[in-house]
Amino acid sequence: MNLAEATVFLVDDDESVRDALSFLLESVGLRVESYSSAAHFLSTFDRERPGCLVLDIRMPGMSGLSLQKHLVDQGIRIPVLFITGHGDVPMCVQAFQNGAFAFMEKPVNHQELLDEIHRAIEHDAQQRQRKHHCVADRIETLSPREREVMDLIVAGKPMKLIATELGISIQTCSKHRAKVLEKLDVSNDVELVRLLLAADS
Amino acid sequence: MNDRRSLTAAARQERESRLAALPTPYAWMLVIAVAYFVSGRLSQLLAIPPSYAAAVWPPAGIALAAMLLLGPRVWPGVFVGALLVNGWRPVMDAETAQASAIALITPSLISVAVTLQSLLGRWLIRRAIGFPNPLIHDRQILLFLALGGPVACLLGSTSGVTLLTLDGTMDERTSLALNWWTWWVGDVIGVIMFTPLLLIAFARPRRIWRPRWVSVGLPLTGALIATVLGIAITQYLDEMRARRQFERIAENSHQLLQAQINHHLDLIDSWQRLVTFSRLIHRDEFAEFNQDFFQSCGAARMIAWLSLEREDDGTESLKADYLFPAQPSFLSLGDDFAVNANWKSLMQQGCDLGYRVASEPFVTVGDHHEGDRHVLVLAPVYRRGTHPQVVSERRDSLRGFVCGVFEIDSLIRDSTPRRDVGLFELDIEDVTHGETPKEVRRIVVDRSSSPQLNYVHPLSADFSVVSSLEFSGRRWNCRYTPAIDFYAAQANRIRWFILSSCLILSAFLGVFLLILSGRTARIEASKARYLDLYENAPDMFLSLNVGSHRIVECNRTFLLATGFAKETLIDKHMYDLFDASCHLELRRAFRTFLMTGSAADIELQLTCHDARRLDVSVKMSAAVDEDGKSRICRVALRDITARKQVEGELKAQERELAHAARLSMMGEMAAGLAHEINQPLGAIAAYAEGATIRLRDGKPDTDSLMRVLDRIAQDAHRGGQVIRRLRKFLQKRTPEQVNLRINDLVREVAQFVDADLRRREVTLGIDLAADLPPAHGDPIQIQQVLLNLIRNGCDAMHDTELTRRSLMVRTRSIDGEQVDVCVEDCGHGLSHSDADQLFNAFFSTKADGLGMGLAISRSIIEAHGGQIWAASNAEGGATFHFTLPASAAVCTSIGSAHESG
Repeated sequence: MNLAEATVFLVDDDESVRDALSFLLESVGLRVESYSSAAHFLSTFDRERPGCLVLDIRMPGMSGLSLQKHLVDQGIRIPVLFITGHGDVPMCVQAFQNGAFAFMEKPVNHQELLDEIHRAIEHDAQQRQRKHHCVADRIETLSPREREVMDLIVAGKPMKLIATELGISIQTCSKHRAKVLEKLDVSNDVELVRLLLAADS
Repeated sequence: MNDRRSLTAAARQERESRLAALPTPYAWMLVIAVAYFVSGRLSQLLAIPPSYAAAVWPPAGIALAAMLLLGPRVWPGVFVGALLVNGWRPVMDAETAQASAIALITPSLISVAVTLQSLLGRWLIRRAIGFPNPLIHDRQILLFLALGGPVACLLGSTSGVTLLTLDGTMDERTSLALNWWTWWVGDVIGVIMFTPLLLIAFARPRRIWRPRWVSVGLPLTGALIATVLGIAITQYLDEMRARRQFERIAENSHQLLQAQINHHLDLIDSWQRLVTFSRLIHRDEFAEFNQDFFQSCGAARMIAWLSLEREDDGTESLKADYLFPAQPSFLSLGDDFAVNANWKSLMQQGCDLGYRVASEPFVTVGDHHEGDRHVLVLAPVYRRGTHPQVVSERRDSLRGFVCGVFEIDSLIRDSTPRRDVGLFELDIEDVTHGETPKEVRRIVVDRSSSPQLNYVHPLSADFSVVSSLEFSGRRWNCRYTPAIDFYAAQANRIRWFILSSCLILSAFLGVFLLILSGRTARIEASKARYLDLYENAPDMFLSLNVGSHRIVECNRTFLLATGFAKETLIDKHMYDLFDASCHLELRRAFRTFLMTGSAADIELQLTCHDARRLDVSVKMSAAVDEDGKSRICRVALRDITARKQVEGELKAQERELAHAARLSMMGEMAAGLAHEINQPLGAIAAYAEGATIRLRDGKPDTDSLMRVLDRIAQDAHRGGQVIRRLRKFLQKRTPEQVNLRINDLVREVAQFVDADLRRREVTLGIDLAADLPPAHGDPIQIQQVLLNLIRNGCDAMHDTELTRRSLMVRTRSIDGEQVDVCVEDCGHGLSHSDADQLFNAFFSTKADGLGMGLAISRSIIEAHGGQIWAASNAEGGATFHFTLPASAAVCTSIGSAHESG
């Protein structure tokens, strides 16, 4: 995995903080994309892009914690580093429960921040690697029938059609599909497709 | 009742202290007695004969005044004075001590009556109107003069006249009614004129009485003099008339007396001739001849022919040959000539002279009119044919004498015309041959005994007429003096008229003058009352001439408060009195006054004499000067320095409180503020480190470094601004008065609370009106209010779900006159009961709230002339409004004032 391709996504409503951090991160050769709000970030974010997310907790509109929660809910595992001006223990707890990578209070020691960002990017890369392997391994565990069903789902066919094509009942087909989703650890068809696409790349 | 008693007690005490300060009562009694006596003696000069009473009797007034002023205990003074006046003449006239004592009985009784009269007057006056009394009310003046004068004087005049009549000094012929009337009128005039004069001189309060010297005293004295003169002149004229009348009577009587005497002498002369020329006269013829004469003339006592008998031894004797009427007392007449030396010399004289001679008056013995005086006349008869020319021849040829005797009293009685009887008294003196005047006798041609005349008019001292009577070598001086009946006849209606006129004149004058001066005193008293009110009013007063702006008048309060002397203040310019800082205000107020006629509640600073400053609240109102022309501005100034000071202290406390509130608010916002500062600081640090890294890595990019440095500067500035704003907000300072752009203030506050709001996850919306007029006031205080309202809104939304946590600040203009600012939240809203006490101190709906924020906000807004209130929103939450007056009007007026200034 090429580290240089990793991007640091920076979401902060304070323009000057955003600009300053971008400058700092760029100074050490990191690629930085900065967003003034969570909504802006979400509208352009591609889950397949590696890197890490540096978030301000309090922002107008969607706050940092909400954004984190949203990402988790979407199954996006990008490491999240919180920087906060006025954090408190409940926030911190919530952030870590949601799988935050780091929680830093302002004023931030920038060296630490850089280290954390590097670690996060590393972590993200490893995680993506592991995930890729993991998908292949899991596909191995599928029965041939289940493999067929999975392929047809990824091909975008509805259950009825798949059942007809394979010559099985819809009930059986659904059982196979549930098994597939369970074994590949995804919650629906869309995630399944995404997982396979990601693994392919 | 108690009041009255204590009042009279106080009055008594005052009077006693006054008496103590002056001579003792005994000295006063002496003074009163002397004054009574002197004035009485003087006024007795005005008594009209034969009246016993004077037409003006000042002692009555003196006695009443003494009783009123000094109290009843000085009665002995009055009594002694009356006794002296009334008893003077009787005692002087009495010859023995016993007689004096008896003569004093009636005067003593009169004095008692007079003393009682003054006591009665005092009692009546005190009962009716009270005394001491300033006598300034018409009714009281009338009662005072009526009771003290006419009513009380009835006692003295009635008792006096009654006593004198009983005593016998007066009888009905001296006209009791006139005496009573004269006495009464005299007393009344005395009281009406003298009591006021004495009260003016001595009565308290002097403030009321002293000015009456001019208004009452002088005219009254003048009237008194005029009355006295009037009475005196009238009396003088009347007396002249009476004198002329009496002179006519006397002359007439005298002529008749002379004629009567001549008649007698004629008889003697005719007998002398008859005896000389006729040798034989029969005794019967003699009687018959005389019979008729004696019948027609009652005074003739005797006529006789006395022949001279010469004895051989040379002795001569007279023998009465004929005698008519043959009365025993005259039978020895011839012998008398022999023995009586006087008669002998009379005879010799008659013989030697050859004429009739008359004797001195003599008293016959045994005559039926005992004590009557007679005159004897001898006419010498010589021998027939002889005409002796020398004394020796006469002595040789003397044959005898015709002798006649007549009685003087009868002669006078006969000679007095009936209508004149009793009008005069006649004194005859024999002054023959320059002998020592020898009183013949006092012959009173009168019907009864003569009453004493106690008082003699000064002008009537020489009222009598003296005429001389000569016959037969004798010379009599006859003095005619008016008798009591003559005087009584003169008591005519003119005197009644004069007395009545004097009474009416003096009464009217006294009443009129006292009432007039009483009214003046009332006006003076009311003037004094209002002057006192004006001078000592709690407020200061000034009067300004509207045209010149100069001070015309001021009250004492003003002088006391400012320390100016009145002379220096009058004519001072109005503006010099006030501090230069408030001249503008003063000018504006004065313009308002000129336009509307009044101006009120202007707060100015007065400069005192010692350069102290007094805060005053000024009120102006229009008035007109005494001359009715120049306009006056009345200025009332109330010293509000103390109030101002309290207000100042209160304001300072409010400032302190507001400051404390800001401090506490900032404390609560500390986290947000720290974040606000941390942000740029963090940015700066990041820039710096980034730049350091780039430089170290040897890939400096000048453009980006330049940009970064610029950003660093900006961020440093931003951080500094937060601190500046904070410092400004926390500064302890006196509020300033500047024009406020409310929209700018709102924006600034929004920035200020930004971090705090973000922390609380509240979004702040701002809706600002573009056409907002400026307001006037202190920016920090208004920001404080805004901040407080915004934070309250945030607190209210603590339990509101995150997405609905929004706060709205709006500004709008109300008719261009007011600026309305509202802060709208979506919190729990207001309960009905909360809304009422929301702005009270120590009221809070928050668990940890102190309850001061809104109270302070309200005091700030109200101090700016605005209002603050709260209302619940229909869709939940509450809206807080506050308004501030737009400063456009104020600015314009200040601007125009500046122009005019």
